[in-house]
Amino acid sequence: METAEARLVRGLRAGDESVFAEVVDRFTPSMLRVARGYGLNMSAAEDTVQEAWLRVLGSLDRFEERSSFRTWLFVILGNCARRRATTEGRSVSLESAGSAAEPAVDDPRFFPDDHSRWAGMWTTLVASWDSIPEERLLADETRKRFRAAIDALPARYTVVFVLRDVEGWPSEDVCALLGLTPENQRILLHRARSRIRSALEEYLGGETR
Amino acid sequence: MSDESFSCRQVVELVTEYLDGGLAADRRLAFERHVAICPPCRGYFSQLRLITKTSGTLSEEDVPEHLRERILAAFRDWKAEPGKS
Amino acid sequence: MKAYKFLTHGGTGRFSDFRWPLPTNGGSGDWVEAGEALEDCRTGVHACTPRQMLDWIDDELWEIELDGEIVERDAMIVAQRGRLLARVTAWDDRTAQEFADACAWRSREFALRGLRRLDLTDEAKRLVDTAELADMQTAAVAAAEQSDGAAAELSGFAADAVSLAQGRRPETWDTSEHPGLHEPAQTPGAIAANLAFVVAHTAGREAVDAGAEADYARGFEAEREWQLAWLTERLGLRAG
Repeated sequence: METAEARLVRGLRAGDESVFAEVVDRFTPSMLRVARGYGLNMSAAEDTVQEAWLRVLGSLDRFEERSSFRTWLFVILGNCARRRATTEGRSVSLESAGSAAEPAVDDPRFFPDDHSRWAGMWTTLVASWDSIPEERLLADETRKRFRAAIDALPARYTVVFVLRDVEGWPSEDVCALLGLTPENQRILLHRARSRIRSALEEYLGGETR
Repeated sequence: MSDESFSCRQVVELVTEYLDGGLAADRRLAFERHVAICPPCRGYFSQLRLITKTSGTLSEEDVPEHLRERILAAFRDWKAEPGKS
Repeated sequence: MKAYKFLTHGGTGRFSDFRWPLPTNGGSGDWVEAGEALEDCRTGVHACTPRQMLDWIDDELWEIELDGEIVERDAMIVAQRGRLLARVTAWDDRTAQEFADACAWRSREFALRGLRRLDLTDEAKRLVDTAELADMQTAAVAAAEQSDGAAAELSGFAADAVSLAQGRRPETWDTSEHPGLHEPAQTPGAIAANLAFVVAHTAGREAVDAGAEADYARGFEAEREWQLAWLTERLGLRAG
């Protein structure tokens, strides 16, 4: 990735439109989601993403190769998004993991704590997704529902999920970018994944809720 | 024998920490022991793991065409600015 | 060193999600290296003695050869390298289901002991006089209703075991009420793992009822020994 990044930065500095288009195509979908994760609607998110790209271009001479381009890109995006959210009177607190514990799975799906034999155990079946064929997982319909589930996430979960699971960032980088403790980051990620699981459960095989 | 054993409710809350490698050795073992003998938790574990694995394939997605055009137009304007090195 | 290893259908580690190289005709699978030094249970090739196998029952059973640094822990054997030798073909979905059913029948034994301790001889007799699991379940449900305390718990476990052996949840929840759920939700291997644990737990609870809290482990282990004997005989396991 180092070599590819160096090539990318060189191309951008040289004003190479095909390189710029490539990196726009690569990162913009996730940038949009992250911008929305700061509480912006789609129109404001698009404005913010465009602004971020322009700031990237304007700061290229200040970019230092020893940090990663994608981290730098999302730092700039985060700053733009926060500023925009503030001017619009929206603010999304990403630092806290949210109010009192939201369980990953609704309570009725577990036996109560005073059950004589099965306290705390599942009341329902839960299907294994191990044997779902790859073609089904990667099919357009599945991906469409997956994206819809991400788009439906509460804003405070979206940024962590997109950076960790869609973009594949390591936990430390996400914590550093968002100013989260590892514990809070993990809780946000877990809740995001749990909601997506619930959203997909009926479609991929599982209980109707 | 591990001292700790988990209920399903607890296991469900620990899956992300487990997948991140964040559980200490004894809790990691207790987690695996439970999932090994509990069919719904096996299912839940497989579901969360699959979501984690599949999400990475979602980064390939088209940029909305109107936005792409706007951004490229802005790039051309930036490039055409006098004084740009 | 030779040992055993359970994998999912298709030869994948349940937790590692690692797809094991399978033996080809006449040969062993390729060696799999786990790494330089064995740190904790995260690194290393995991395998089992026959007794340890009971805690990790799954779809496929394999004989595995281990090499390099080998550490025997309570729950499993951890080695630096391993290769699959041969599939234990006697363990398949059908055997797994037979084992699960055998465990379900075993749960009756502990229900009976609880009922007899309370002199509930009619309920006990009715439970004894069953030859089909569905009938045993009906009798166990009735016995649970007629008793209380430990006897009700043990009879309840026997009734639940029958549901679990069919891949259903305990206490009546079943898939006909939930059409979105695809059947089967779990493999026979998963069901077998579940039954073996639940019935060993039932045995532990019965030992507590007969004696004291401290007897749980003894009752649990004794049932594990019964399960091990069943599998050893059926699968031709090496002693270990």
